[in-house]
Amino acid sequence: MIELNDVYVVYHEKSSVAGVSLRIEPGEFVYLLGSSGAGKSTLLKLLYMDLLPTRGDIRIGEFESKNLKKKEIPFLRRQLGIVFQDFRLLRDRSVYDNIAFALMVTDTPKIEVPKKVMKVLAEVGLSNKKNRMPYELSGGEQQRVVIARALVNDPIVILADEPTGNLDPETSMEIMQLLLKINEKGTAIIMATHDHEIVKKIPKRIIRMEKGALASSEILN
Amino acid sequence: MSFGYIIKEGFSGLRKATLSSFVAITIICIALSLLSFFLIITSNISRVIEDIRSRVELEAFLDKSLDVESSKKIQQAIIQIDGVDSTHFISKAEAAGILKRIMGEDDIFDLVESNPLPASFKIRLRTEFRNMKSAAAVAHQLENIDGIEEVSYQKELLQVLDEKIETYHYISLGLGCIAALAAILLVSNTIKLSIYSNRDLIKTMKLVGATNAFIAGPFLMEGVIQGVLGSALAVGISYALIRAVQRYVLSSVAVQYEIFLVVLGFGILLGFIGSFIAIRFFLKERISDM
Repeated sequence: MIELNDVYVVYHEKSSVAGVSLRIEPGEFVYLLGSSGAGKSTLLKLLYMDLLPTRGDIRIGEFESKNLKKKEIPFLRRQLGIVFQDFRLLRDRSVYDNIAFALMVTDTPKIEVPKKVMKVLAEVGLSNKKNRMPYELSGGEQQRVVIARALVNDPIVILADEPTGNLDPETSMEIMQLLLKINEKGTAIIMATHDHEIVKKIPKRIIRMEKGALASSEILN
Repeated sequence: MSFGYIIKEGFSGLRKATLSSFVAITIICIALSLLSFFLIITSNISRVIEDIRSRVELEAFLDKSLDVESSKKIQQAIIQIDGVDSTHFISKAEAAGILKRIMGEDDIFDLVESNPLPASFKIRLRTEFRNMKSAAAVAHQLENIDGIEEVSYQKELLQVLDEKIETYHYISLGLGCIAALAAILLVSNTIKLSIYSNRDLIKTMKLVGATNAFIAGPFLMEGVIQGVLGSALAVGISYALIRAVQRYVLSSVAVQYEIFLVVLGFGILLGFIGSFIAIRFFLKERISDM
């Protein structure tokens, strides 16, 4: 469960969040909708604690921002899967190594690594491309690898910041189908987007943001 | 996180960032070559000064009427004084011999009826007493011994040495600190550049929940490896240059090999501190600002 209570933060002056309160249940699929500068990305940064609220409190599972020590942040992030629009894969490592890297830095026993990596690669449909380098993949495939990396530590929620922003409509829908499949298995998804087409095609709960505040919260079905 | 992982990633980082590693190693090498020259020059100056100090003696002239027994008693009294290392008795005859040697005339005492020179004790001080203040204190105690008429020593030389040494020590300490600080800043900035090329890696590590220790480990190791390589090169260069100076310029220049150990140790420390400062900068930075 994710909960924000009257959260305020000022970040780079223009990107701020003011008085946001919301609650997201386990396994929910939520769109953060709004134009650029509305505070969607800032809200996501607050969720993975890259920014800490100047007022208010954020609760993610057992972690609470007001009681959180800096050294606990990595352990919070291990429960989150983070996906950006600019893929952020390590260019000098293969698909397999990019995913294994996420396990290695979180001290996963070596013996479990191959099994876990192959499982998520199968989920995103890239088992046959495990030895490819990121530059040998299409944009959609690279985003799949990022999603696989985000999934490999069994997160409670995937935070996706414009995950389809750099992709064509067809590939975007493929990525959305993948996110839906992940969500059906019980992982919550919070996706920031300004793509109304996607929201129309795959209707879910929408949290609209304007100038750093919540404009509305509605559920489309 | 295993030590093997840190070493493996440390070397791998070094291989991947060939140019920036080369720059970091070169900077460490230059900084430490300067430091090792500085230490060699300082140690040589100190050696010369200590050599001069070791030659400083006090001479206590005895009452001309004293017999051998009384002289021995005085010698015992002198040895009891704190700071006295050794004494050497110079009889009237030996004193005359010395004067004759200095003047270069054998018949110098023919003008007077007898040898007018007094017997004396030459007194050497222990190393830590070879300064103006201690020498004056010893001289004062000597003057209080019955049978000693006069005490002389190179007061002015000691005074000059003491004053100059103090200034010299302050200057060399200041220069040493400035050189060390400059080296640390230079190296940390160079390593910062080297780490900057790895910011994607750090960003990914942060995103997937790596702890700061896990992120920093390989970079600290990389810094230490750069420190070892840079300082080893500096030692090699300094050694070769000093050998050349000894051979072609000044053969009396001495090298204390401990200096090279100090330089190696400082190189490791420099690599570690430099990369620590640099990685701390990236660890503090937000993922979104990287």
